[in-house]
Amino acid sequence: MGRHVNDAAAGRSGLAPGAARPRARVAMLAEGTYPFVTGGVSTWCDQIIRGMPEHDFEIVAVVATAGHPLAWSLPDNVVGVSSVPLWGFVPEERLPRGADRHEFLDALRPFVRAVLEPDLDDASFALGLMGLFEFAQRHSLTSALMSDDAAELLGDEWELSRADKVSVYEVMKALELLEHSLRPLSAPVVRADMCHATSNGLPSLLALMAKWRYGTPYIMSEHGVYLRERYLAFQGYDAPWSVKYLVLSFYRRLTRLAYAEASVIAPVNVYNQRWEIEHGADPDIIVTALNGVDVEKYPVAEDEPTDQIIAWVGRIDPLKDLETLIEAFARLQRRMPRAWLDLYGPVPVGNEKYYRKLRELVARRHLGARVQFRGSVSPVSKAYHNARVIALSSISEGLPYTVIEAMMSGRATVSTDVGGVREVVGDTGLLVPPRDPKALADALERVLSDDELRHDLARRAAVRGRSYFPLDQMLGTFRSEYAMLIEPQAPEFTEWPELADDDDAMSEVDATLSSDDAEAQPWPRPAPIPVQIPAQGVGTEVASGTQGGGGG
Amino acid sequence: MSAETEADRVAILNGALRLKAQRSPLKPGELRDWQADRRSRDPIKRLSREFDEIARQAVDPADLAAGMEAAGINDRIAREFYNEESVFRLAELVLELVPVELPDPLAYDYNPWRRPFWNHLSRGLLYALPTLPYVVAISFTHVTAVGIWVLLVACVVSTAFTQGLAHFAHLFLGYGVTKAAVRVLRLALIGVTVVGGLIAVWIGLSTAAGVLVASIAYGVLLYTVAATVLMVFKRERLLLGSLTPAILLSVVVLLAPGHLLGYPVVICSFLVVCVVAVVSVAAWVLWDESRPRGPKWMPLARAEVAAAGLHALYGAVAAALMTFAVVDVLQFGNVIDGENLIGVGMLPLVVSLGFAEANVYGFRSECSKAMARSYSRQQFKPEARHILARRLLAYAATLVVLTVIVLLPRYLAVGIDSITMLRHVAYGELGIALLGAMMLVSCGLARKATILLGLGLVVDVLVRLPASGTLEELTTAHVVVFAGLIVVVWWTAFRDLVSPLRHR
Repeated sequence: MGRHVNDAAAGRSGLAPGAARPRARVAMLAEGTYPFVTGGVSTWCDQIIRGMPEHDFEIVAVVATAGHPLAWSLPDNVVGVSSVPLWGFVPEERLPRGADRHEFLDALRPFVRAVLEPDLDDASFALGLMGLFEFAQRHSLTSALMSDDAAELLGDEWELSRADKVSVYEVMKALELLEHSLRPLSAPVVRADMCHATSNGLPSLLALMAKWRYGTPYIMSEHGVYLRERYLAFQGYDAPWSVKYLVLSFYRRLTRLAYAEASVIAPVNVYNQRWEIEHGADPDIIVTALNGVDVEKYPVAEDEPTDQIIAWVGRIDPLKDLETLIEAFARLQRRMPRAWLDLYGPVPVGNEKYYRKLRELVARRHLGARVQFRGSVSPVSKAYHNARVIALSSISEGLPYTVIEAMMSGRATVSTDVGGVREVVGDTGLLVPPRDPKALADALERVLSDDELRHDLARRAAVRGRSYFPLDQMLGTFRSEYAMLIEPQAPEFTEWPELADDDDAMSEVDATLSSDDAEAQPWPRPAPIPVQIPAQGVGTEVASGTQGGGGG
Repeated sequence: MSAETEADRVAILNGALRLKAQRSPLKPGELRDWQADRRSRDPIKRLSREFDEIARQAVDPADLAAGMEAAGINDRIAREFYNEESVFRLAELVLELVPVELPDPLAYDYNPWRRPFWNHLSRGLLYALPTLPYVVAISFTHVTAVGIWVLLVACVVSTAFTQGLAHFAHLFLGYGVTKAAVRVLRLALIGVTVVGGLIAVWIGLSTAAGVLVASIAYGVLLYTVAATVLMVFKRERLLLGSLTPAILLSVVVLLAPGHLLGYPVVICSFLVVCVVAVVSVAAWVLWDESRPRGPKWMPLARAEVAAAGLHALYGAVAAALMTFAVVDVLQFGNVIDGENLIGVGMLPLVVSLGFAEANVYGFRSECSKAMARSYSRQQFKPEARHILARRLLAYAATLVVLTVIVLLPRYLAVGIDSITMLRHVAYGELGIALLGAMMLVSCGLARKATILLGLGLVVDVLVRLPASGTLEELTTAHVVVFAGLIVVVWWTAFRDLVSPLRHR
């Protein structure tokens, strides 16, 4: 970075105005990923931080509980790591009284009204949330939310809004879930030149706090669509409708507010933009930032194994819908008894039950000899090279690393048509509907049995992967977006950039700025890398991917 | 995205959120009854049937759109097959067709506290049954005053230690970090085995308690920790199974002492083997539970560690209160009734522990349901008081019945002296006070419960101080103190436990 002085930026980062600032400080805001968990989003975070050594990064991670060990060795330009736990013991504190009580209720009321009334303008929600933020920075928001006052307010507002009553149980349950989601409001506000939220939702809540307190701008990336994931999650929960309504309405409001306040929204695929625009995002600030992969790590395989091996690489997670893949393989195995299915990847904490369920399914289908859970593998390219075709059966994806890596490795892919998968694969792989074992089995059989088709797909996939998804492209996109946020055009500068040491150039700049006709021109916004990917399709969130350990 | 899974995982673990049970798929030709009303070839209507379940409970069109996309419907399909510009517009149309049918809130299962009654009874048995081998073991020894103090301290320490230990273990399990729970329990088991053994050897060899009494105290400590391991991991049947030989032997010895008292070494060795068996089973369970993958540790907040200490203190105070009769005997320097009769005095209370647990769970369970039926605090409070009162009376009645069962044979045989009667009354009152304390602890008021019991203990100790007085007067004083404890504890319970905030 040049040695620019930017008073606004200096103030946000805590430096005295006018102080020289050699490096920018970026707050990377994540939830449930880097640096405590491996996976696609974590890989992406690590790539950005390592790929931009010119910036210092402070990582603030929203986590379920504190105290988990790091899952990554941190690059040198990470200057701090902190976590914001959503769960965990919070000692009871005295309930707010007097003026504090009024402050709390005055903030809670518009917040609750905006959550209950979808037609109310977003400003009410913003006002309420900001009020709760200010309260939470000085008092215990947990104690205040779990008070009779809060319960009574919520019950009364529900009755006013919906002409219906809600039970004490539902009120307590909703308050409990909202309280945990609002815990980030009590966290110290991060100080940085800019924030980069890795998703909407709670990481963006941290970014909003920094913007309210210090005016810090933020970029919001979206691998999945946070709001969509919340809807899907709650479709699988057994909760009273009123509780679902309150919690999901909160997330919908938060999503809209975060889109509105972001300086840049950077989804990893075109598919996500639909949800973003539908929920109020300004299309003019949306910049697609495709995931990138280091091509050096994924050389094209020179040959393929003689066995009919299908590989899957990723995190053992319900979103990957491995049941469909196993069922598909069971069908395939009847027609191709010599086929194998290798499943590579770790079992994240909390997914042990799901993993056991999969093993039971394998046993029930008598596939124990043919389906292998191989765990993590390093390097991951080994998994791709040891297979003839790579399968993806996810019900939800952003821009999956697995598929990009497989393509770069020169392997044909068979994937579910979700999220940005179609954008990645184009016409170099087969796409099937999600949750359709028959279609998946048929596609796998087609690719395995037709050598010419398989080799053709593999060849074209390698070209496509290397053309559209190199890591440098992704880093270039973010580098230019960061530059725009960190160094916004101001009407005057207090110091010329170092690079301008040419007398003629200086004269030209002098002339421009001293001219009466000169207007403060914004720095030209770097053109986003054009997304020229044919066969754009619909899809969903959650970039699945790998890091060196074979997770995804 | 792993984010919500991570954030929701703890919610699912601690019951704040529950997963839906999988609905069995329709068999070919089978229709759900709601389909019959809207049979149509119109594609939107057919779509509405397919997504009926999601649509009926959708909070907004985007909720339904998310479900549709997860099922494979995208904008292209929306345009080509349904002539709508996007999945969002399609979802809006479908929602207009699907009648709003919010599930009956009362049909929702609100009750995380429901347990089968036999479950509580079996746990109660597990609390009560080990007293039998304990009594048998003691009957083979001559227990001096020092020995009695050693046994009392062993009981109090083991109760306190295992209360704190169980709290730690449940905390880790609640966070989903099973291996951390295993680690703590394993450390405790090893620590007690080694350190407890050394202390027992020292006590046995260098005090007047004697080796046998020290061994019994060590056995109590070991057994309690091992039993805690098994009960934390819900392996009550294993515990019962490993206890059964010792229980059977104890019953035989107690019923036919004349024949078997001549074989103390055999009997005591068998009891030692039984303790070793329980400890071994606990060790095996710890190995079994540590096999699944997962994080090995999770540091706890200072407040959480302090909470475990508070639970340990609570256990110590409760156990100390229950030793009043034994301390009375020591204070008066004679063995008027003998250890066995004091044990008999405690028997109704010990046997009723399962009923006490059942009443705590019952109270929580009924209050959960009451919260679902109430629409305001004002509506909930009287109902909660009523439930609490019923539970108090039910437990009190249980204690009365058990006391009568225990006392009646003796009364019919030899009559009952006043001290025995007073002692039973005192234990009964203590049971009722302890039930109130359990209720407070269950609702997150462990500090209050500990303070109130602690005050009761202090007062109970103070009434001993006057050197003059008879055992009968002292026992009467206990009756008065424990009556006061009942008033204080239950007044607090009726004031604090009727707030909905205590039942989340």
